[in-house]
Amino acid sequence: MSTKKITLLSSDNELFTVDEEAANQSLTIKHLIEDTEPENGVPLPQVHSKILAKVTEYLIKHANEPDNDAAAKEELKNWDDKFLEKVNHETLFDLILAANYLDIKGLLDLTCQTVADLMNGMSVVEVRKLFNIVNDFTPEDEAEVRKRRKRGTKTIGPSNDQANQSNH
Amino acid sequence: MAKKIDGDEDALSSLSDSVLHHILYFLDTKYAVRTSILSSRWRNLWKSLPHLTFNKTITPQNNHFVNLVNGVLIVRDGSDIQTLRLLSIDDADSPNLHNWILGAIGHNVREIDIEVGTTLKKLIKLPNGLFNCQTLTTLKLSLDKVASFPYYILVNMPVNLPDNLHVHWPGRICLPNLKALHLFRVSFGDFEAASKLISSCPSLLTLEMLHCSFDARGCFVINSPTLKLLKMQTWVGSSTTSPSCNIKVCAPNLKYLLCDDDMRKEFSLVNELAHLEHAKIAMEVIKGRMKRSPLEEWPIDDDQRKRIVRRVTSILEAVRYTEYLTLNPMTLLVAFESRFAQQSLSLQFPNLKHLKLQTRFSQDCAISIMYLLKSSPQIETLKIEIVENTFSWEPLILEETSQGKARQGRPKQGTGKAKPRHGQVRLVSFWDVSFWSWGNGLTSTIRGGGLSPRGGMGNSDKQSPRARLGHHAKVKTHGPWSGHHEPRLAPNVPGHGQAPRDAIPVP
Repeated sequence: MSTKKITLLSSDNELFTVDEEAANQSLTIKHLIEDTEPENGVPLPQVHSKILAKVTEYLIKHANEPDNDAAAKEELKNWDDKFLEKVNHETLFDLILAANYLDIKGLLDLTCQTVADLMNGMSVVEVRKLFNIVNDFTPEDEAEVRKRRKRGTKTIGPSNDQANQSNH
Repeated sequence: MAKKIDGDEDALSSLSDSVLHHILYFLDTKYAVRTSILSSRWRNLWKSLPHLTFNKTITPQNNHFVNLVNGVLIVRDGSDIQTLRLLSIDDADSPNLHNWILGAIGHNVREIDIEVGTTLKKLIKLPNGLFNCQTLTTLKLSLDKVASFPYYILVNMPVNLPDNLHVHWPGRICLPNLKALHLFRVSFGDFEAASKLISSCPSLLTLEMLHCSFDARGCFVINSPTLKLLKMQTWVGSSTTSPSCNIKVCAPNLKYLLCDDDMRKEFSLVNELAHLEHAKIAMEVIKGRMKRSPLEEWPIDDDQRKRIVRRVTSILEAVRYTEYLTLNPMTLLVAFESRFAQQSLSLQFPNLKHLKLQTRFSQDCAISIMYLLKSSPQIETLKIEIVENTFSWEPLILEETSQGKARQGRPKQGTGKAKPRHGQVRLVSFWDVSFWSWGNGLTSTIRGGGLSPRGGMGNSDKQSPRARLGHHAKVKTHGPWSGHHEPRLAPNVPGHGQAPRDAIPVP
């Protein structure tokens, strides 16, 4: 059985070809095809070829998700882990942006979960360092945030400080 | 996207609120709240978190947990709450539970998931507002999965009068948008209340009632024309509280049915399920908290035995339009129990394409499978899963046919001590189809494109059963083998002259 092929055009004019079934996991692409019936590939001006290559790799692998096969699910999960294993932060965030823009739920979940896992168990200071987050609070502001949070949720302030200390 | 990101740039903080919320969704709300002191970008994000998950095992101290939940709900901005999950809550939280749930309802909550931890011994009381929430689409009430048996939630509906249990569930129960209801180990005061709950959800698509129980006798009616998915699983300890109860399912549009129930109960499907796609029937005979073999447990007299067979058969009859069918060993045995199985032997499965059978591998299953194949003209795949014989067990039909009467269960056999008693299993392969027969009792011969059993079922030749399996049909078996019954192939394998992909064990 032959399946229809879909051509995707990256921001730097590189072409990627995938089966329609794989492409349809992206609701954005699906709607673009339905609405505009593009002849020379679906233009995706927001996605660079470097990222689109990764995205299509994911789409092809996930085109036929196993329903009830536990072994196949396990294999797919291992593939997912490997897929993001050696990805640097820059690529990871670009993948998040692409997954969000292309509306690929599975990929968005996978990438966001990865970021959450990176943050998990880290102190505030460590998270700032890991993601280059600049603490732009003035000392007064920071005191205010901590105080407010204490008033609202007493647990956060003290246990957070404890966590900071224990994590150092 | 294509822009170059400097090593120093904070790509995380530049993501949109919705994406950051999505990332925080994978953290317990306690940690999501902590992100507010990362920078000013993060300062107010937590006030609009769409998904709130409070897990008491992460914040075990009572006052900390209460302050956390209160704080998040009180300081929240005006945005809607998608999900409120309260996990592993216990006695200490019950005074606050009302406020938390009502707080979420005030933010147009869509999904509420309450999981009670093991320490809750009292009854949990839920606000009336929960059962009249206009925005709610999913409701999950469950006991912590690892909780021990004696504790269960009593859904106490008339919360306006918490001490007055005589008040019946009011006509006020109204969940117009509820699409999914998941109940795990929930106990209902009476059947009427439960029936009313179901019929008060006019949009219900999914109903899961796993290990639920009823404290009174009566008839539980699941009446829902919209219902697409139904999972029913008997509460394992139910026979002590409700030995006889009737469950009537009136859901003509079901697409997916999982029924794992006690055969002695009157579980019945009122309608023929013409739209059914998947069915898994896993009936058991249950005593106390243990699932037992039928021979130990069944009433001896024929009338009762007949009733059980009829009950199981009528369920199979109602699901006969399904495309996927899974049967457990007990259902397979009972439905085709020879003396009373006339009704099931005339069953037809016109749409059945994929059949999965769990069996303890004995002669009766070969006969049952033969009949199932014969009555399923569309069959494409047959998957046989051989399960461990954990209980005392007797191949009933074989005893009856070869010795003329049924013997009562033999003593429990440990795995590994079983001796072959009924001759050798012979494996027959035909195109893609592999099948087996017993050397003693039943033989299979192949004619044209089908299998036809000879002997073993009395007058089965007169019905000329033929199981037609197309060229594309696949039979697959797998199961736990151990040393003494390793898969062995018969020396003469007709067909392509090559061994089939999967082998059958010789017990």
